[in-house]
Amino acid sequence: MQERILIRRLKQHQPQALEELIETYSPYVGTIVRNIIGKYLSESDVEELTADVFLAVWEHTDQLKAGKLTAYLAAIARNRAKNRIRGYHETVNLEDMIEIGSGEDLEDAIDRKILGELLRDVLDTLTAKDREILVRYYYCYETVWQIAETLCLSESAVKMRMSRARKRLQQELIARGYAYKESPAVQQIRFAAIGKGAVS
Amino acid sequence: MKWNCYDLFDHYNTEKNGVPALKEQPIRTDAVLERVQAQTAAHSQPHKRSRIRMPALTAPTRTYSLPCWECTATTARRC
Repeated sequence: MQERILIRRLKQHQPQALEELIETYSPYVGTIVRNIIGKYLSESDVEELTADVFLAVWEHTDQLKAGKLTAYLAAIARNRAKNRIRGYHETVNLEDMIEIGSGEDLEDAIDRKILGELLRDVLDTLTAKDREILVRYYYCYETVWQIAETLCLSESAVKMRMSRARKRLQQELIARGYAYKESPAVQQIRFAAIGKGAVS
Repeated sequence: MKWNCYDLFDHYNTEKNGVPALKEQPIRTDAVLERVQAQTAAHSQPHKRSRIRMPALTAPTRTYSLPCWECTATTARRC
């Protein structure tokens, strides 16, 4: 109810509503931003990016929906922070990679919308806890230690669940035809044309 | 091909699937607010009108060249 009223006031461009929004949500937005850029940039950059998120909201208040405010803020915060560190060389752990296809860029081959739906479907096949761990780690950029503490699990349990969930993700992608099948006869990588939106 | 899971999650739809509640870290809210206010003030400031300097309007000190009603000469003064 409070959120609904706040959104209505934001849509009316009441400066007081913007202040309330910042006071309530800046720790949440700041946490996501810090998780992503904290190790590369200073605290002042975190504040600047957090402010940018609220400015973006202020400029696009028409897109605000009741009950989705946190989700909207999280999405903007993640996108802005990822764009900011794009220039920095980010090394990705091999464990965070899943083997899914040939040398072609999957993103080029599959429509973004389909990819979003696919991810949702694949995540639905996981248990609620495994799904939460993946979202916390890969979307919110929380560390294994932070996740373990929040979910009252040991770090090794989190890692094990993540590894299992990644494998599940990979299996689902293969089952839906987004990964290759290796033909032993020709020793050639081929896409398995199974499921919707399969690439050939 | 190996694909980075972080990039895969670029396609995660927060509005449909939701986001977890995070253990929030403190941030200087006043500093964020100050930055936002400075920006919104800059955006909402009305454009300054370019002031065109106009000569002051004063009552005209014109002399009318009307014909004299007595001799019909075109002069400002009475003949």
